[in-house]
Amino acid sequence: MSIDRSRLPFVRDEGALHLPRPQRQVLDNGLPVWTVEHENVPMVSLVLVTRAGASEDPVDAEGLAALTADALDDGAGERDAFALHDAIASLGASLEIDCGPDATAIDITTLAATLPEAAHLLADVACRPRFDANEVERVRDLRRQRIAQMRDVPSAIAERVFVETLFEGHPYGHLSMGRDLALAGLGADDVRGFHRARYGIDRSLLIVVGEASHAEMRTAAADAFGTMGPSQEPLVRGRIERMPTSGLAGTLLLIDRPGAPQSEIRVGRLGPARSTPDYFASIVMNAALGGQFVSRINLNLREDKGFTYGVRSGFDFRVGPGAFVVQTSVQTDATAASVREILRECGDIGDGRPVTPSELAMAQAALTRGYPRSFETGDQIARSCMQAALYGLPDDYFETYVARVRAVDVAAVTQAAARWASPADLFAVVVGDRARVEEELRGVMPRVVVTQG
Amino acid sequence: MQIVFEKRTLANGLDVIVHEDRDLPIVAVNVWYHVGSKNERPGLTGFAHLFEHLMFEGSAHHDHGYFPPLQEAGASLNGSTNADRTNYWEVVPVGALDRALWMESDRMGWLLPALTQEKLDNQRDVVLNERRQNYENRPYGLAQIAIAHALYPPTHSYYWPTIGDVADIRAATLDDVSAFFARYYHPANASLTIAGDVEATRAFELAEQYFGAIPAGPLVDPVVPPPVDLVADSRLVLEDRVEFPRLYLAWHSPALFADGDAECDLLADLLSNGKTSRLFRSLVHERRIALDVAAYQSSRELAGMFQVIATAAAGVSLEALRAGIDDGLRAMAASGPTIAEMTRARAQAESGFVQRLQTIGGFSGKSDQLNAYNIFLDDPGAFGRDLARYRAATADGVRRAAGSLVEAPRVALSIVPRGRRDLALQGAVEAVAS
Repeated sequence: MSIDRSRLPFVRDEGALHLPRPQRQVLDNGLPVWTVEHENVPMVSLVLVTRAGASEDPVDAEGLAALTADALDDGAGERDAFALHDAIASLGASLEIDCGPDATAIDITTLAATLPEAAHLLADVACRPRFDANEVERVRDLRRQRIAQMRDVPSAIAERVFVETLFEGHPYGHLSMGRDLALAGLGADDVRGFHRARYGIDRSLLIVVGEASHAEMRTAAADAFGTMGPSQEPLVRGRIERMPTSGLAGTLLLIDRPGAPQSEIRVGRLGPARSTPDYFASIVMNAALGGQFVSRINLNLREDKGFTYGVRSGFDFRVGPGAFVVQTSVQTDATAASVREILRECGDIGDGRPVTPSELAMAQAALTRGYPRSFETGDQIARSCMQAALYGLPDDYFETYVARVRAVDVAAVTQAAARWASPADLFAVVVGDRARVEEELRGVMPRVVVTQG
Repeated sequence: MQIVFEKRTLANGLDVIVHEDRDLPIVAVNVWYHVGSKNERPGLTGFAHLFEHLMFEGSAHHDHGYFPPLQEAGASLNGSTNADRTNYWEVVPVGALDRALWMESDRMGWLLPALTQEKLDNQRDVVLNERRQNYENRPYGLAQIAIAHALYPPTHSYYWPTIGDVADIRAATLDDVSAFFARYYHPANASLTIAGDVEATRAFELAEQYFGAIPAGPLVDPVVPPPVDLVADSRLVLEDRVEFPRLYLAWHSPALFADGDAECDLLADLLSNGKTSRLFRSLVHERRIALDVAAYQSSRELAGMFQVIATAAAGVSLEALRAGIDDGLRAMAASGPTIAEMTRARAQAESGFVQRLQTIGGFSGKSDQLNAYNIFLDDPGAFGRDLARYRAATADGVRRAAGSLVEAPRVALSIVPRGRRDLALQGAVEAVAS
């Protein structure tokens, strides 16, 4: 049978998706536990999420949350650092700790047969870290040198300046890794204090996903975490929800990197919190503007002009206010032209050149038809659950996602674009060869400020 | 552990492999072409990769870019090129399988009529920007190019980087590119895997319908590399915009699946993977002379390369790092790993294999592995055979792998801050890295 190559095959919407339904329970000591039965490979992921992220860093102790997270696994319970990692590795398990702005996640993935042992190791790391002075100082010194290393990486410089500028004076106003000067003054006592104050059941949630029954997962959780207590400092609501006052619209910060063959670019602004009512309009708008390969900005800068290997836009959603950002790295002689095109695309989609019905359909289809892929592995499911918990998403969130994306219309997209991507509200960071880019950039944005970064 | 699959070869030589996995309503389509930068020649480097880019720019019956119809279908898709092979994949909702196969087959069979100078010029610019971003404007970004130039003779396919030389990328003509396609991009030099929520019978029917009519091209002769022989240690230095000096040690090692390859993998794991690994423990944790250390066995079709990389902590000399690494290697060469270390390394290898079974598609998912084993071993089911290599490896085998590193000549590359050549290992000469 020969194929009709005069037109593309239609896409049929078929196949039923069984979305994960976390069973939500609470242990006797008050720790919430979500379990998801997921048959794929004989593995289980356990993730303990704690509201002890970088936004909890005390002023002048930026980096303490991440330092604490990093030192958790350098000796815990009965084991020193080496014995602990030997025990994890011998199970065939792997441990990862991630400190984000809103929370710290400790993730252990193991073979299903070793679920109880892995749960105990996770509980040791989360609840009984040793924080020996020697180890804490070692980790601190490594992190300080890491910060120094990041000064050589253009994308890291741009990222840091963008975040520090956008959220200045706000608990989100620094990267998780912190500041060198602040870290210099921190030691084991600070880390122990931070841990006592924040790693408690009232700030935590345990998620268990994998090839095991709800009962098995719950039993493992109860055996390992049954004695976990409350944190000394309950979470202060409202602290991170306030809006920073960023007065930088129209400003471009230029950080010199003499001789650089490319300029690293960020263009963006403060964004909505994850709880924003226009969340779905915003993600559909972003998919059309710059969230995908076929989005407007990438087609323009890469596929039409060849200025870059790629450009993306995105919302950084958080519990408190987030960010909207367009990011790319472009050849030096196209720096000003690229910033100009980015601003133009951001303006057009909200005013003058709204999404066409086919662009809207494309953006929606990409988000909805691609949705099942987010639930393939235990880790992915655990991550989705983590977000649902952290952002307080409704119980039927996964089930209603597709319908809510489909409900977005052209007017809603245009409105979201005008609200979150309007060029007059944007500021920019460029890390590049000042001698070759400054003059032209002055014609692109109202103010160009050269800084040290 | 095994992946259940079925393989058939179409009349035009295309291998088709099907694996059913009905967990989610999605299907992975994965195509490997057995061509990479190893098939290029000096002066014409970077073609395989540049070509990968052009494969996303449209084909005769759909000449408007490869991404839109698939993203509209909810697909995730990508491609990649290395020295040995080029792969392309889509993961689509089951209702879009026809469309994915239509698109893949159209670019396998009918790419050239849609290829234009304009597309070539545009993607050449994109690739040059990819090179700037990943090599030239990245700290330590030129290290691997310098090492390959020192390890292999200029006529060896692994001498040049897959991204290619800038001059060659600039000089590529439409004729060159077309000839490259005709020689390497055809069913007899490719392998198609369909994995996911589809019945095997239907998957084979679809493969025949979409790909059956594409004519087979010329068989590709295996690349016969010149002998590699590093007769003496080579000490090199590169200045870069970096804060901390870094040392790279590189050796020739067994090729992919050759004797000793798995032992080198386990050795690398024991040296630097995780906090209990030997070099991490001694250099980073206890002595604090390194910020990081990484060892890995990079085995490819024609040859392997073993590397140890470490970044010096503030004020520490690269000579101290070198001595620390050599101490670690000598200790391993003298007494080999402990029983506990071997148990741990095997457990890690085993769970690594299981983890790669979690996804049907993408880089390193099941469909990609079936194609890899088919292309390299002519046996998509070599999964168990591959794992058996790690199960069979002995402590003495790992000890011998370490021993061969201690004995053999190597390339030692120092990357130092600009103007600080004095921080390189003694006697280092300027590396070639362009």
